[in-house]
Amino acid sequence: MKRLWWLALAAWLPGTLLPARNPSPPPPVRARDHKQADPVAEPPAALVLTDESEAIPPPPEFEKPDTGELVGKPPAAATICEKDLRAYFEARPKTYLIDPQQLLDPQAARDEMDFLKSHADDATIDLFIYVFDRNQEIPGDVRKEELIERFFASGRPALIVYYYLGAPEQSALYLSPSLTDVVSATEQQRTLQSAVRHAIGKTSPQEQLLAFSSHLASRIYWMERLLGDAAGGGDHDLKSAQARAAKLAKKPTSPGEKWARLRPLAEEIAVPGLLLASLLAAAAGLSGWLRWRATYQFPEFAVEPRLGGDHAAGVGAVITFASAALPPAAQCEQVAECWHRN
Amino acid sequence: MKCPRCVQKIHRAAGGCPHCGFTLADAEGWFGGMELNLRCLADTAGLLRYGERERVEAALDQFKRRFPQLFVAIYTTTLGEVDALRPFGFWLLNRASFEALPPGTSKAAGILLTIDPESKAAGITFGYLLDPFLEEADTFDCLARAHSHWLEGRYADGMLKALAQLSWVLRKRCRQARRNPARFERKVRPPNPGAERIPPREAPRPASHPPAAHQEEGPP
Repeated sequence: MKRLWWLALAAWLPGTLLPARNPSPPPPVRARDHKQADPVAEPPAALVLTDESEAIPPPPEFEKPDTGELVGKPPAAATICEKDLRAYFEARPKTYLIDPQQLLDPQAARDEMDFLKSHADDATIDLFIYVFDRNQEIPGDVRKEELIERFFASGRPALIVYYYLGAPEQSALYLSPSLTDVVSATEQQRTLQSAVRHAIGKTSPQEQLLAFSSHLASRIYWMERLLGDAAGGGDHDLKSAQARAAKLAKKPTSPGEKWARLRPLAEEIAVPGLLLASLLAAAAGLSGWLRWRATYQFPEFAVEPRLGGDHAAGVGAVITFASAALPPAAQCEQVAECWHRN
Repeated sequence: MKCPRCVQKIHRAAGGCPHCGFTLADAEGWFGGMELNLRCLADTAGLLRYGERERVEAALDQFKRRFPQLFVAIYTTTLGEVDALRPFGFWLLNRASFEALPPGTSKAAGILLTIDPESKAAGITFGYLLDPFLEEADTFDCLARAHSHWLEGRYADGMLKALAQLSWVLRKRCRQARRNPARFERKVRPPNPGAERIPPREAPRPASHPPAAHQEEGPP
């Protein structure tokens, strides 16, 4: 029993005295035979924790996985193929998110699409986002400004963004023609920079895009609130700009659109309008006919003859047209010619 | 009211001009004393072409339809003196009988436009019926409207313009007379019978009076 007690004391003493010098617990000690038995299962970094001073063996060589074995998508090509280019720039986009290369995950694309659609439902200015990869460049023969002017000249005013996935700082912002005249270039630049700052704060490209677009949407919403705040004495320039933008947006460009807009109204007022016009024309015609048919009768008064004339002695004016130098205005005073000669 | 010869103001019932003694007898002495038959458009000076003549006649017919009491006659002749135009108009309107007038139309309801292409002058004379309604200024406006056309030798256009202005003035006067006839009646009310009349002086004969019109345009 005593022997057992001394053994326990001998084992306890080093444990109580050592913490006084070094408060950290002793590192775990692994047996060499155990390490050698399963070298692959143990992480090499764990060897550093041992008190052994042996050299760390190099990590084993692994075979690189095939492209098909990789999880996720491969990086996009630097050049955009012809088919995708057509999908990007052939016509005005039908959706608010334009990603023909499918650079976004399906779920992220759906989320982004839903967000842009809900924004379009709430706001008067739409937001279109063209998605490219960070290492891609739009070919030089694609005239972006011209395409935007062509595609977005009609319809609702819109902000158009060329967004580079993973590199929001490369993004470019454009406005539809109805807004270019009314939103200054400084304001556009400020909006883009602010959205880029918000996007850079996120880590994954999908989150960056969502942050970017949500910030742009909030800027649009803020602008609209400012513009619509008429009673609060807001910025008159912005207010007039919004009015002009709305007017431009409402203005139909093609005769077909104009007719389609006016057709219900025309159908509604056609019959009464025609009736009214017919009545007015008939009244005008009748009035003209009555005026044309009207006869005038003068009252006859007894006039005593003069100068021996039985029927007439009313001497009216005499005018000469011998020379253009003597206009009628110079002949107002009617006197006998002999008086002129004298 | 003025004397056709000296263009001085005369009394509304003066038997002769108190200034120059002019009467119709003097005019008859210059232009002839016979009765004349004339068309309402008598272009003795040959100023109108065929188409123009039709246009002017149509305008005269329309005037007659619009003013059934009145008629307008246009007479072109060569008198040679501007001063002779007023006495000639006075004489012609009293002496001539105008054809194609509706029955019952009085010569006192006539308006005569005389144009002399030689002296390049035109004048208007009117009958007693229009004495209260037409003034010298009205007739002057009619002639002034035609002045630019006549200056360029477009006589028909000038006649149409003068007729249009005359029609406008008469329509206006007719409406005014319908509203306030007394205003116009006052203009021709006979003078006070007790007022002393100035006897007319004997009219001197003009040194060179124009040729008698009836010698140029005989009765048709």
